[in-house]
Formats: sequence, structure tokens, C-alpha cells
Amino acid sequence: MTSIDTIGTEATARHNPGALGAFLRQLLKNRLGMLGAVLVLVVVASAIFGPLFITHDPIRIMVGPRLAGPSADFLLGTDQLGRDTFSRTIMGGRIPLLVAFASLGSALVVGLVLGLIAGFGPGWLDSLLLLFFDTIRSFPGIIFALAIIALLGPSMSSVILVIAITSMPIYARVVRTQTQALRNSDYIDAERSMGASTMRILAVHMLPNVVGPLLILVSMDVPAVIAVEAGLGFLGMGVRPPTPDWGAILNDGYSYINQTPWLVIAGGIPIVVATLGFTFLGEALRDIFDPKLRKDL
Amino acid sequence: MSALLSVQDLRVRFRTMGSLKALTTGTADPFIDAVCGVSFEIRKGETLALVGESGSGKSTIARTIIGLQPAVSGSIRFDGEELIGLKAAERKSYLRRMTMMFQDPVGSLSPRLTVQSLLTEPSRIHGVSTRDRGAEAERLLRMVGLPGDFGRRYPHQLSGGQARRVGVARALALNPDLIIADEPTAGLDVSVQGEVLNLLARLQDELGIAILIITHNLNVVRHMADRMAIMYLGRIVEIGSTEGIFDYPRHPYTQALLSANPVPDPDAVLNRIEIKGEVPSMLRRPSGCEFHTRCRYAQEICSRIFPEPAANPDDVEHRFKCHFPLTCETKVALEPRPRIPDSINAVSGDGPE
Amino acid sequence: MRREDPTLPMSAHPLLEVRNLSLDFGSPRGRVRALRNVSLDVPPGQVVGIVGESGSGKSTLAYTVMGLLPENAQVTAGSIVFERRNLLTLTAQARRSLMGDRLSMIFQDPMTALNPVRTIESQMIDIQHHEYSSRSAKRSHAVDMLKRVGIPDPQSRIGNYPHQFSGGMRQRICIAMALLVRPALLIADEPTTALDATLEVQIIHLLKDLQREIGCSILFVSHHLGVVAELCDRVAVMYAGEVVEQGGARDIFHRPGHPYTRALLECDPGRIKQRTRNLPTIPGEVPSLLGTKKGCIFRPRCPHAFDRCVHETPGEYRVAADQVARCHLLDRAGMVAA
Repeated sequence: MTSIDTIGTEATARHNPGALGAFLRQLLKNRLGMLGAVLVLVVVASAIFGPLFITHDPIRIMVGPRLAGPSADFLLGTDQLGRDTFSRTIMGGRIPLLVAFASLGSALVVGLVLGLIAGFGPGWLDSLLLLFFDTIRSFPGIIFALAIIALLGPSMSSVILVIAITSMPIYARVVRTQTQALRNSDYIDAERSMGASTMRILAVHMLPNVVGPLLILVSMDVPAVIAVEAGLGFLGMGVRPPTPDWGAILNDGYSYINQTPWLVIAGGIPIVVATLGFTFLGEALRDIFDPKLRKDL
Repeated sequence: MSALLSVQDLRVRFRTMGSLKALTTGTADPFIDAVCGVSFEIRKGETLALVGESGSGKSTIARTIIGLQPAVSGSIRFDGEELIGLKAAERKSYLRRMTMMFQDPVGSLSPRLTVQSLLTEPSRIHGVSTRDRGAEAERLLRMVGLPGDFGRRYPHQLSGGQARRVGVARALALNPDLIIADEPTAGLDVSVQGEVLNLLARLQDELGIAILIITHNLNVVRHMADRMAIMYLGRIVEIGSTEGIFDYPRHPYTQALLSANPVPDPDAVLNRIEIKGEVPSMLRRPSGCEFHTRCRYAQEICSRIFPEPAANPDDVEHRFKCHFPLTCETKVALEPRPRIPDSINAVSGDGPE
Repeated sequence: MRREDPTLPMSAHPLLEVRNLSLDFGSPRGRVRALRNVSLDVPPGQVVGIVGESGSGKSTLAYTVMGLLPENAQVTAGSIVFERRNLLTLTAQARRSLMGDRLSMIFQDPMTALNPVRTIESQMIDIQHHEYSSRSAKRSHAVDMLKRVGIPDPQSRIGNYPHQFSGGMRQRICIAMALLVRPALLIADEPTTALDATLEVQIIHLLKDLQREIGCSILFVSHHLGVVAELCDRVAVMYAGEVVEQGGARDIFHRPGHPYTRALLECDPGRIKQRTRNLPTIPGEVPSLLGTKKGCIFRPRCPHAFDRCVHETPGEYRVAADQVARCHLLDRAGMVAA
């Protein structure tokens, strides 16, 4: 144990429980992370409290002139059906965010459970689960998405299902690796030697130690999901009109880009802002909690 | 006097390869004997040390007793009850009465629990109702000489010595009859090692606990253990009272081990018995007496026949397995003695090599 | 039997001369003053031991000499002169040409020091890149060295990978690699800590023999007082980032001048032959090295501390002809300041 070692452990010891204050201090120091946090806050808040801001009904046709530019009444102008673009943009964030949180959230829960079982259970179960994870992962993502949508029809729930199924194996593998690294550690042996049940070991001693890296991974996946959802919306494979959705707005704007640039801007900027925000925040989380963690699988 | 823990002819095997690989490579026996034919007893309130180098199987014995590792054959009796073959639920009640301390002082504490939760973990696991967990944690902390407000700390906020004390406190939480201490001083500085050993000794005197110490550190053994057993390649080669063995080791390996203990005195004359080579792999266990490949007294018979256990004539508790045990004549003074009196000026060192 | 020659007073030019070295580590909670005003000489052909407990800075000192410091380390004062050149001001290239030629190092963990995916042969040939000789000459040189450190059947085993050797064998290979280039100074950071007792004494013996044969100096870092007593000619005792005492091994072990050295020696259970249930300890904790400290660093744990120890950092006082210690008590005893 040299002071070199001690310095090292002090650095990693930042990843510890009662350290929320320390974490916030770290985040305040990380400029890009702070920017990300602010952007994320803006996007999430506007999606939640959107109905309080919007000036017009986002799906009512012909509230104004078609494809108009910005004005005092229509802050970002109107689309080809005369709907208020500002209101549609604000409300259009709800779908991507809902998709991201629902799909990644369910992938997280299922991945966590399966990963813990694979990592802590008997060898044959581990092999079986790994085979299962790899089978899912071996499908090309887009083909898989198109197949599901063709089967279930384009809807928000199919998008959620596709993303949840394709992300789950990645999370499960991360949890499995972490669990395997920890299962032979002295403190897990110590718990077993005291007669603790497997459930107790997994819930009290394993879970809190594997969930951290997983959350970082998930936060870095959010922007990708937003982009995928927008992409599907753009291709007309996402939610059905007239529900406002960034991808759909972008698609409209693309069709009428010769008449007005405002639709593309209104659909594109929030996607950029949300993606950048979550990316910066995710990277900051990773740097703060675990500088060594990369997306290694 | 009845034994608290009695281990008879214990055998533990490890798999070296998967059954499929064994089949394809034509290996008939894909196992190694990590522990073979080990027998010893621990009486109430007594300290026994299992001594050996890495790979001697001493930690495996501890893990088998506590149930982390299955035994192939043999018997482990705790207070007269057989532990081998018990289901996890049946074994659980014995885990209140015998507890184990693991090597890594900090690493054996669950990193996200406070010291208070760590100390009350045993009572939670065994469903012992404690009215006030905070008070219980404080009682345990005081017992091991730590301030009561340590309960709020996390393991990474403890020094090695403090973490070890917490480990001792946790082991004592449910008033056990036996503590198994795996390298209780590993990773601790010499100034802290003494503290931990003194603490264990004091608690043993106060509470009458039996201790099984697993260690390679002979200095720990000398001060802590009533009896000691020396292990080599999964077997006990010599067992007896600590003083008896330190004074008069009968097995050549014991003799070499005892002499390989550098003392902080540059002028000490060492009658060191340096053994050649390294511990053989368990995959290629030597025939006959396993130590014959490194033994300087080895003869032809040693490579063929495993020596029967023999006892010291004047101390039947002192037993060893050797065809040619050391006698008083071969016994050399292991204790290093100062060659130059302190008063002689350091500059006059002559030092024949 | 193992003490060889008298430790002569400082020769005119020590091989390695560390002068007033101070080093900080940047940490989120502030600067950790890991080394403070450290001075140390390694005379040619001698084994100098650095002993200390965790956090004493003994390994940091060794790594500083080798230039193997993490990014957050910063030397704030002092010099490290090796063969009359200051290692701290040397260009990276000049420094590299010294490493693995005049200076080499062995580490605590022999596995991490060897490249796991290359054979011992290729690694041992590579390390001789300073030499202008044929590959086969380098190989046979490597085989000779492996034989010298006691690797059985080196001719065939040189083609093996590190994981095919046991821990003790790996450390022997590391020693062979470090001494292959016949360095002037070998830095050994706890080379026997990861080994069993019987292997430990084998390795110490080997190091001592090779040191005599090659005539190099060794800077030997260890927490094990017994090993240091057995191997070293001179000893520096470190505590919390300072060298509190240094001198000839015999002086240090027989007549320690600093209260910390005395306490440390008393603690070593290897010294206490009589069975006891009450071993001596050093009460208290190693102090945090964050921020600047006033007074003697050992004061909070010292049984002899008095007023002066609170206010004034002790300088070096000469205890014997070749032994200095940093303790105010030595001033009171009428010693002349060194």
C-alpha cells in the first residue's frame, strides 16, 4: 500500500453511497455535463409541462394559414395543414421521451434480473441465457424493427417493444459480467458464511453494486433511442398522424422544404438539443462514476 | 475434554476441467485433491493455527467447515453434530455459533452498507430481534475499541486496522463459540497487527471463544495459538502444541518453514535451512511423501511410501508424518542469536562470508 | 555471516543522490504532500533499504526515481542526481536511454511486470536493445541469466509465456530481466511481498548474490524489517512522507535514534520471542497528508513529544558517525545538528 495506491483508491472511492453531494459538486465542475443537465431539464420539463405553454391545439387543422412563417401568434409558423408548429414541437417531445424511458426502463429491469441470474446462477443457466442474449443480438437491428412493425403495425408500443428487446441483452451482459466479478469477492463469501439467503445476497449486496454502471449505460442510450424514434417517425413507421412527433414534423418539413425552412428547423433543433443533452450528461456520469468504463462488451 | 470442532479424514477436491474436456482429452480423473485426509480437533476456548504456504489447502479447509465448499468425504462435527451433508437451511443454525473472518479487511465488508448495518447484518439474517439496532452496533463497536459514531461510516472510509476491528465485531455479533480467522493480519502494518492480535486475545479470554487461525505468518502463530498444524500440499504434516513445535520441530518442512522467518537484526546468525525449489503443483502430486522432492533428508523409501503418522514419545499430542523425523542431534538452533554485542562499534564489522 | 563490509562514510560521489525532494499529488480534496524534503544517498555497490508502513511514501520515492509517476503527481522541490545527472531535468529521450540500461526496476507483482502475450525469450531479447550484438548472442545471454537466477532447464523454458511459470519463478525471471543489462542501480519495490516465506528467503539470497556478482547498487523498498535487516547495508526509515532516520543498517537496528524507528522495531513480532498475549503497538493513526503540516509529523503518536515538536519541524541531527534522524529530542541530548 503506497501513497500511489491510496491516491488511486481515493479517486475510485468517489463511487460510493452517501456521496450525492460530492457527485453534484463533481457535476458542477464538469461544464459539458452541466450543459447536458440543463438541456435535458429543458426538454423533459417542456414535455411534461407542455400543455401549460402551448398557444394552440397541436392537432387542430387550419388554426392559421398554411406553411406560414413565424409571427406573434404562431411563434414558429404553421405546417402544411395550418397547425401551429410551436405547439406541435413542444408536444412532439412527449412521444420520443416516453418511448425512450419506457423502452429503456423495461430493458433495464429485465436485463438486470436476467443478468443477475446469469451471473450468480449455475453454469448451465448462464450458458443458456448467454445463448439467448446472443441470439437476439445477432438479428440486424433495423430488419428486426421493420419485421416487428410489419407484424404489429406502426404504433408507439411496437417501437417501444423493438427498442426494449434489442437493448435488453446488452444490459444483461453488463450486469452478468459485473455479477461474476463480484460473486467471488470476500464480502459475498462473508455474507454466505453468515447464512444469508441467495435472494438477500442478490438484493442487498449485489444489486446496488451493479446498478451504477448500468445507469450510466442507459443514460448514454437515451439519445440513440430518441434518434431511432425520430427516424422511424420520419419514415412514417412511428406513431400515426396526427399525433405530434419530432420525427413526423421533420418529415413534413422535408416534404415542404422548398416552401419554408421553418418546419425542418422546428423538428430538427429539439432532436439535436435532446440528443446532445443526454449525450453530454451520460458522458459526464461516466467520467464521474467510472472513468474506466467504456461500452465494452 | 470434548472437542468443539472435530474434523476427521476430510477430503476436498477441485475440478480442473469441464467434464466434456475431460472426456475429449481422455482424462480419467479431472480433479485435484486440495485437501486430503486432514484430521484435527479444536477444544472449547482453544486456539489452533493452520500454517502453510499458498496452495497448501489451509483456506480450503476453512471454507469447507463454514460450508462455502463441499467436501468429498470425511466428517466435520461441530459440538457433536455432523455438518457434512446438511442442507443450507439446516446448516444455518450452526452459522450462528461459528463465524468466519475473511482475509481482506476492507473487501470482506459489503461496500454499500454502513458499519451499523454491517454489524447488525448477522442478527437480521438469523432473525434475531434486536430492539435498538443502533445501540447494538454501538455495543459491538465499543467491544472492539472503536468509537460509537463509527456506525455511520462506510467501509471505504475505514483504515485497514479499523475495518479489521469491524470484521471482528461482526464475527462476535451473535456470541459464537468458534471464530475462523483467515489471515487476520494480512494487509495490515506491523504496528496495527499487534492491535488486532491483542484484541482477539482479549476477547478470547473474556468470552471463551475458540479460534481457528489460518495463516502463513509464524509470528502470529507464536503469540496466538495454543496448538498448531503445519500443512503441505493439502495434508497436515505435523501437529502439536505451539511451544513443542517451535522448540523441537520433527518434520523437515516444519524446520525449514520456521527458519525462513527473517528477524530484524542485521547481525543475527541464521542457521537457515533453505529448501530448494517450490511447492509442486497439485496436478502432479509427488508419490510417497510429498515433500521428498525438496527434502534434504529424503531417501529412497520417501519417494515410494507415504509415512504413517507417528507421535513424539514425550508428547503424544505432537504428531508428524515423516520416515526420518528430526532428532535431537539433527535439531539445530533455529533461534537466531546476536553475533556481535550491541556495544561493539558498528564500523568494526568484519563479516566472514 | 551476512554483513559484509563496514558501511563507510559517504564516498565522494554517491551513485544516486536524492536531495530535498518534495512531491505532491493533486486530489479532489486538495494537495496531498506525499514526499516532503526527502534526502537519500545510494553509494555505489551498496544495498539501501527503505522501510516504512503504508502511506509512508516509500514506493512513491522509488517510482519518482524511475520516473513512473501518475499524472496527478508533481515534484515541487529538490533534485534526483544519478551518475551526476539530474533525472528530473533530463529530456524524456535521455531518460529513456538510462532506463533499462543503467537503471532498472523489479515490482511487487511479477505478473503485471511481464507482458502476458509475449514469450520470455522475446521480452528478454527486447530489453537488450541498447546492446549491439546479434539476436542469437542476446538469446544465449538471456539463457545464461535465467540459469543464474535458478530457472530449471532455461534453454527450453525461455520460449514459454509468463503464465506458464509459478509466482516465484516469475519473480526470478523479472530479476533476470532487470539484471540482464548489468544496471548500476536496481530499484526493487517490495519484490518478495507477494511470495511465501520459503520463497522470500530464496529470492533475498539470490538478490544478495547477484548484487555482489554484478556490483550494482540496490534501492530496496520493503515494509518487512526482517528482510531489510538481512539484505541491506544502509537503511532509511520513512514515515508519512518523510525520511525520519537513516544510516548504516547495524546502527539503525541496534541503536535507533528516532522514536518512530524504535516503536516500529518494538512492534515487529519477529523480535518478540517470548509468547505474549499483549504485543506492543503504535497507538494512533498515520496522519492525513492533505495540506501543509506544522511541527513534527510523528508528534501525535510520539510518547516523548513536547512543546517544540508542535511548532517546529525537526531538522536532521547526527546520531552516530553515519546516522541521522529528525527528532528534537536529539537536539536536547546535546547532539550537533548535521
